[in-house]
Amino acid sequence: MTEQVDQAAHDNAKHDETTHFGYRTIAKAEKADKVAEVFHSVATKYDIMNDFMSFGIHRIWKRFAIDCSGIRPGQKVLDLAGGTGDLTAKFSRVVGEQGHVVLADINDSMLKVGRAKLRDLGIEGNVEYVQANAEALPFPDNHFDLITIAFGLRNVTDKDKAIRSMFRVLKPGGRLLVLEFSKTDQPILSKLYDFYSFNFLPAMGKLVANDADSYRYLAESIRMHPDQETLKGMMEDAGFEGVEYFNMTGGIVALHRGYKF
Amino acid sequence: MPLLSLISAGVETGINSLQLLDRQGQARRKKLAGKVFSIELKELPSPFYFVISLQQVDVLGEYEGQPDVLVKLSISALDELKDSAKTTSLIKQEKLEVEGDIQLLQQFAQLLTEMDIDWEDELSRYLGDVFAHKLCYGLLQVKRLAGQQLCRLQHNIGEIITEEYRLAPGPLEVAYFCDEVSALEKRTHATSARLAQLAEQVTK
Ligand SMILES: C[S@@+](CC[C@H](N)C(=O)[O-])C[C@H]1O[C@@H](n2cnc3c(N)ncnc32)[C@H](O)[C@@H]1O
Repeated sequence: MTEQVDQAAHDNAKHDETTHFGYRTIAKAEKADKVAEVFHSVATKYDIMNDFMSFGIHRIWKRFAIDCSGIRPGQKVLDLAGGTGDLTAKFSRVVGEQGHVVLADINDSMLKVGRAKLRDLGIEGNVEYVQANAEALPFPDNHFDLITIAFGLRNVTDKDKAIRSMFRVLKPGGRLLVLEFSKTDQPILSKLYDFYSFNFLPAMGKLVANDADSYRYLAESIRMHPDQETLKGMMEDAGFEGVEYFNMTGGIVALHRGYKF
Repeated sequence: MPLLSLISAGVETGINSLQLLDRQGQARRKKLAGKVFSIELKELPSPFYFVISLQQVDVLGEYEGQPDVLVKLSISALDELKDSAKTTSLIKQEKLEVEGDIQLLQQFAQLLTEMDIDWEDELSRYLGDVFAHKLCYGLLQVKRLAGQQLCRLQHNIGEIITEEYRLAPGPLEVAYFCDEVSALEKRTHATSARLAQLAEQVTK
């Protein structure tokens, strides 16, 4: 009996030290580096590949997220794992001179591409670029009116810790939006989508960005990401209230929204 | 809901492609920067919100703040908005409902409709100067000819309806018909007067 308990404790401890990197199990400490490698290698081609691989539909997903954000002039916004800054650009224009947007990402290469792109779009003045890990946000408590994390959460090693960290820096009354790949429950779409992700996507990744591995990681990490209900539960566990989600494109992508009251 | 996102994306891309070509675009946007307009087209289920910034016009499907101007109108009245003389009559005809500063609204309408675009210059970037000039000249000719043809067509259709197929009466026929009706009216009056006289005689 005690032996069994010991064994379970041992497994647990082992589990604590490992995590998923796509379909592979790796040491937790390693994941951040691996993810960094992926985004470092795709940074310059990131926008083109995004349009190309989603047939431009990612723009509509992001637009819907913005419509659900309640963004207004004068607000403080954190675009977490913001990468090349698609959401930041719009937020910066809407919050205006009195508002403030922080584009935070763990990856310096992505931040650089983002900063250059936004400068070209004429966006400056109310945007700040911060290199930060979502798990330990370097911001004061109760600071932001809105936090968005778009296609970022699945790359984070300790998602629960990250969601708690977001809860902490959000103002009471503020909201969190998580835009992320999710699970479709439509069998035909699911088959098509599998074929697309595991055959077409890495092949295109190789062809266009000469980097099949990164895009294989993308497909695998999407499959390992918690489904709609699980993520909703994780947000509620961190303290978020009124959590709901909206499926898009048959559930391939879902937008979760929760409030801190 | 993503369908509305698709529409707003289309509208936004359209507006901003033109804004980019407009030589006065930035100066005009500067005057309106920070303003939010809610435009509800009677033909669509929900309003769109237009947020103006120095960089561009953003179109949102939802907005939880208080827009500076709220407008409800039908698509057909859209173009008449920029003409300040027409705004009041549009409001009186109930084609347009406005809450907020009408002057701001007119500035916004001007931003979208009165663009200062040098098409020849724009085209020359892609086609070369000479060809762009020829094309623009050609298009103007086409426009003029098309206008003439349209007039002629209207006239011809008028003739066909009245004379060839006799679907509608020609102007002379209408005048003759009207005369006949007045004559008939006079005779009817006379007859009824005569009848009244006779009736009186009989009762006496
Ligand atoms: C797929 S990109 C999304 C970029 C952008 N939000 C968009 O929607 O286009 C994911 C981003 O997450 C960032 N990222 C990964 N792990 C992170 C972490 N722990 N903290 C912050 N950002 C992280 C990556 O560097 C990358 O830029």
